[in-house]
Amino acid sequence: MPKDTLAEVSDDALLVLYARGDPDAARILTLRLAPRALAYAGRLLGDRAEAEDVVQEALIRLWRLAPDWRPGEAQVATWLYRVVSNLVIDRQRSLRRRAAQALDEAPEVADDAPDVLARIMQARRMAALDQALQDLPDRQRQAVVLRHIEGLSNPEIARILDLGVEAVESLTARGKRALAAALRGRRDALGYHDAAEG
Amino acid sequence: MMNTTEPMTDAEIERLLAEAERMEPPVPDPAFLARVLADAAAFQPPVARARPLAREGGTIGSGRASFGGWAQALAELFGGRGALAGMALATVAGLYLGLAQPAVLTALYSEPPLDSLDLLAGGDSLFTEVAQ
Repeated sequence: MPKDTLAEVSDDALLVLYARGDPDAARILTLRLAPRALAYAGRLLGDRAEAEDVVQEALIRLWRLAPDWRPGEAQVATWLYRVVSNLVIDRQRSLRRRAAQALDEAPEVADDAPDVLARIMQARRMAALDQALQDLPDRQRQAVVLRHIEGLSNPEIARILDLGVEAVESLTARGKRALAAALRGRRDALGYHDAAEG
Repeated sequence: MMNTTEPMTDAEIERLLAEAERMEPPVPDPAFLARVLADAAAFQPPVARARPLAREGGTIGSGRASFGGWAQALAELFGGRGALAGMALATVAGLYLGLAQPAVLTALYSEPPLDSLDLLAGGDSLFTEVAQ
C-alpha cells in the first residue's frame, strides 16, 4: 500500500497489514507509537536508555502478537501503554538508584522556551517533577503520568492499569497530594514565587 | 508571602503537570528506530505467495470465445468455471474493489479471513493529538 495512504490508516489496520507482510506498516506504526511510549516510559523510569529498552521489548511483543490481533477489540495504543506499564514495574526497584543519578543530568527542554533563562527554569521544573514522580508508589506514578501528562481519560487509564475508574481517581488524587508534599520547599526553585499566580 | 516549607498547592501541581503535558515527546533516536524496525522485520510473518494462475492457451484480445487465457485465469480466481458461470453482480463489484485497492484486497482475502477492517484512523488512536 502506498506510504501516503498508510498515514491515514488506523493503528489496528496497520498492525493487520504488518502481519500480512506490508513492508511499510511497521515503520509507520513505530513512528506513530514510539514517541509517546518513550515519553511515558521515560517519565516512569527516569532513564532514557532504560525507557528505550522497555519500549523495544513492548514492541517486540506487539510484532509477535500481530498475526493474532483482532481488529476492534482493543486499541493498539492502550495495549502498548499497558505492556509498557507492566514492564516498567518489573524493572522499577533496581532502577530507582540509577534514576536519581540520571536526573542530575540536564533534561531535554521544549523548543518553544523563549530564552535561555526560561529554558533553564523549565528544565529545573521538569527535573524536579521527574524526581518527585520517582518517589511515588508505582501505580500512583503511572496513574498521574497517564492522566496529567499523557492526557488520557480515567476510563482509558482504567483499561491500561486493569483497575476500576474509582481506583484510578483515587490513585491520581493521592499521587498529586504526594507530589505536592515531595516538592515542599521547592517553590522558589521552581519559579512559583507567588501563590496567587497558581 | 507563603511559607516555603508548605506543600505545593493543587493549582501549582496542576500547573507543573500541564507544563509537562505540553512538552513535545522526545524524537526517537535513529539507532533505537533501527533496532525496533529490525525486530519488526525479524518477527514479520512470511508473505504467502499467490498460486500462479494456469493458462490453457489463447491470448488476451484474440477474440476466441473459449476459457483459455484470461477467462481461465478469472475462472480459477473465483473457484472454477462453474462458479464463474454463476457469478453475480456483487462479485464483479468485489473484483472492482480489488482492482481499486489491490493491497487492501490482498490483506482482506488472505488466510485467515477477516470479518472487518477499519482503514480510517478516525481519532481512535490515543497517541494522536486531539483538537482542543
